[in-house]
Amino acid sequence: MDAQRALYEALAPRVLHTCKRYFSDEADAEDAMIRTMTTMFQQLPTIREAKALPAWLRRTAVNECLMELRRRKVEWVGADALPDTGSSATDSLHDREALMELLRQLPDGYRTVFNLYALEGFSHAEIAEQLGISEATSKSQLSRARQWLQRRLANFDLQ
Amino acid sequence: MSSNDMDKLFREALSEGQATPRPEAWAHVAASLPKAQPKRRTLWWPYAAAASVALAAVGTWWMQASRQRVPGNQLLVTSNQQPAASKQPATSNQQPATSNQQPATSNQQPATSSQQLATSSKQQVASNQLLVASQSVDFALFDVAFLPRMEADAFEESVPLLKRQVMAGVQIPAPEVPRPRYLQLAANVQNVWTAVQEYREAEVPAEVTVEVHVPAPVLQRINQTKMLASNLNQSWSTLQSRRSR
Repeated sequence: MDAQRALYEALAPRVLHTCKRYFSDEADAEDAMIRTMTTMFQQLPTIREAKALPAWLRRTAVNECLMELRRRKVEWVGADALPDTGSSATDSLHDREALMELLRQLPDGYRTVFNLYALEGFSHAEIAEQLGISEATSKSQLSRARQWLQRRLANFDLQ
Repeated sequence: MSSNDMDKLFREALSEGQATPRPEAWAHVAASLPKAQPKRRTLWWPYAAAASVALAAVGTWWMQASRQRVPGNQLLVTSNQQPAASKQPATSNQQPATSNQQPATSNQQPATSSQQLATSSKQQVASNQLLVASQSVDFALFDVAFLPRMEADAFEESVPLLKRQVMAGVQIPAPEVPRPRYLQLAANVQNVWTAVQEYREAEVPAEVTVEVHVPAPVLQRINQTKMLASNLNQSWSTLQSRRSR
């Protein structure tokens, strides 16, 4: 138990960080993290190399997040009316937490595609396959996410 | 800011990072941890007990089996006080070969076979026993049952010989290990010698004859061994005398 606890404490923060990128709600991210860690402990005997563990964890975490998002039947198309939720509580633009806040304010569909494309390095084809959407939808979601973020960043710049 | 720049900005800032989970989260993970299998303590002593019982059973069976195998070659120490009894050995000297052929009839327990020896000597029945003891004198009975199984120059090969017999369909009462039996022969001969010594020390008036009937190949081997021993003895004494000079 102590060893498992130690492993959890070493790895959970990274996993939670990854999960937080996919959900606007902190609790959702934590749930995904808990599921990921549980899966890890179950699968641990089958993982041969300790070196492979971080990459495996990240992949598993992303999959957990996507499964949850799919379960919620996130609206991938549409959402033309972008939420313009006022101020992001940041002072410095290059603050990581500020960027995280910005990312999490994105609508679920945009955020997911942006995450997968820009941060996980997926291609549009892979995203389309993962989310069960067309490549065109993936592309349009990405460009809209970028537009939204651009606008928000410009606002920050003005401040 | 270009799209690529923006992607890069987010990637560098957020791709890797850490976020401290609430302490309560661990409880959820811990609750679903695979349970460690409680170690099952294996009790060793029932196995040990069973093993020793089995061993004892096999040992007993072995002893019984080797006891029962008395095909007729017996070693007797007799007294020559009674002429009627002393006649018998002369004729029965030729018997080893025939007695070997009839293990079925003479396969009795040692106790009963010794009784038979005594009674048959009274009745002068021409039996396949090697020696007939007179009823008035104690006799020593020694089991040399394994002797007929041995072939000339094939002491070491008696196990293959046994196998051949099994293959031919001859029923062997129990597996036989040649070495211990050979040692037993030596022990029996020693016993005979001890008996002879006892007779001498007791100053029994009668002459004492010790007749040891062994198949010819065994006798041959014994003689060889004797010769070897005397040669060795000679060499040893020669060596000693040379040294002392």
